[in-house]
Amino acid sequence: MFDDQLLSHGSAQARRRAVASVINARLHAGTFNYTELMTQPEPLLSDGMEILDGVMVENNIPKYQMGPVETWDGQGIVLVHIHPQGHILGDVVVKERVPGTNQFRSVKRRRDFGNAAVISDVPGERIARAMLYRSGWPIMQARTNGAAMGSVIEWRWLEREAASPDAAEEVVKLYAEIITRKGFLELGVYAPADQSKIKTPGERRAGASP
Amino acid sequence: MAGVTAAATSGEGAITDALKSQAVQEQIEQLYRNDEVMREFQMRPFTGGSTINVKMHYAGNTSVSTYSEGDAIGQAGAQSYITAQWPEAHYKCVVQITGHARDFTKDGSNSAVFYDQAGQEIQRGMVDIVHQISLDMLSTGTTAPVGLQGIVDSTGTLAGLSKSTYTWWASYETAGSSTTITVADLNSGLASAADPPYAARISAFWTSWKQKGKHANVIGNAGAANSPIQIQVGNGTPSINMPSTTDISYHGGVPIKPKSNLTNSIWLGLTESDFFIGVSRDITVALLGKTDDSDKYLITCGYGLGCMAPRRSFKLTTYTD
Repeated sequence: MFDDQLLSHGSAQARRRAVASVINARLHAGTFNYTELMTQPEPLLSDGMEILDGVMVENNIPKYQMGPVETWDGQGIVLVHIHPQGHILGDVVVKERVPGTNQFRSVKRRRDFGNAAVISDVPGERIARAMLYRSGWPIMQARTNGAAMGSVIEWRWLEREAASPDAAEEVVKLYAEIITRKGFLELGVYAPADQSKIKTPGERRAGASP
Repeated sequence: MAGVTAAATSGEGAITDALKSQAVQEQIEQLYRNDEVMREFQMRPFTGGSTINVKMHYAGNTSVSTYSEGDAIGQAGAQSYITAQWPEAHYKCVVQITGHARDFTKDGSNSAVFYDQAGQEIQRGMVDIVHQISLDMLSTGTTAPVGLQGIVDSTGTLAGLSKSTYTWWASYETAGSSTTITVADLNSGLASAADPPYAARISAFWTSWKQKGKHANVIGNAGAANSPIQIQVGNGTPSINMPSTTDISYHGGVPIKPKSNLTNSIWLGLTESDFFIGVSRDITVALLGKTDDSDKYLITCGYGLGCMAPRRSFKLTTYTD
């Protein structure tokens, strides 16, 4: 997502401006995804999250809601488990009544979102973001140098990555397998005609620029 | 019966007035008070202002790279910092004793009273405050008063830093594999929190007394069928159930510290040296100005729980059994 040159800016402010420019362009083009951002080194990762959350930093102190906050138009983020039988598990805050009383308390509960789901990512909760950070594929592998494997994949990233001429074999295979899953197709985020986007390894090599 | 008798309830022969039966000269504490948190963490004095501000270093110099002969050296980079602002909460307790009460008790003199009631009011008021501070520090609070469970969490805004925005500020948190603690959950928690980016150095598990007991049951108990070491006798019935070889006060070499009042459904893996208690005011007793014949005392203090690196502690949740 980011050019290495972004890291060579002399000041933090200049770097943040450059990161904002890249992210805003991606958001405008509809090509932004968390996976690419989360595999960036610091300080680019925090810079990027600041842009998405409308955070301005003054004297090293973050000020919130100083800029536009990304809400994804309330649509959420499409996440898919990497295994056909796997379940996406995430933490959601729910209000529960204290047994025997009329008092309510907010508690975090684990929710099973099924094999594929559109997960809310509204500011203040950022459930999808938290799930990707904790168990994103290939975010976890990149972060731990392969010591830990992610289990949840961001569809927007996979779709884009699988169509890339540089896509890894397992990425293409995963894409091809996921688009056959009934539960995923029921989400309505993928039309079968899109399958033409997938190229065989040979086609991808042939299509790649020399 | 004449003379001095035990049976007489009044009059010259009665012993009632001579007996010291009204009270013994001591008070026995029957009220539960929690003091299990404040002694666990180091104290840090406030240096001015309403928060303890700590600069968090989260990224290195961005100019680090390899280079070849003749390459331009490029721009200089810099380390990246963000300031965490840890708040505190002021606590108070008001004690009042009237002039009449002070006179009648002769200011707590032994000749007049069994114990110094006014002094006890102040002393016990301090204990009441410590109890409240302890409960707050064990809570889920993310603003003053901040609680341990609020610090060790994967979400929320803490010390002015959003854990969603600054992912290096978030703790590893996950629900248990079942509603009862398992050895695998604790192992997984230790391993996950040790990996990048959390890099924990867990020094203690904090959990409730009930959960500690559940863990002991999982490890296995001597004389019970779940003992991990069983010697079969004859055809296997009966068997001798030996004590576990594992000291259940530890898991993975990490001590388990049961804490009263800690939410029963969680296990916290803490890097304890990261935590601190900010002190904006030590416990202070002040005599307030008189508005009548009473003496009114104000007991106050200001404390706040903080943590240098929440990511180095983790939380396991949803244990209901």
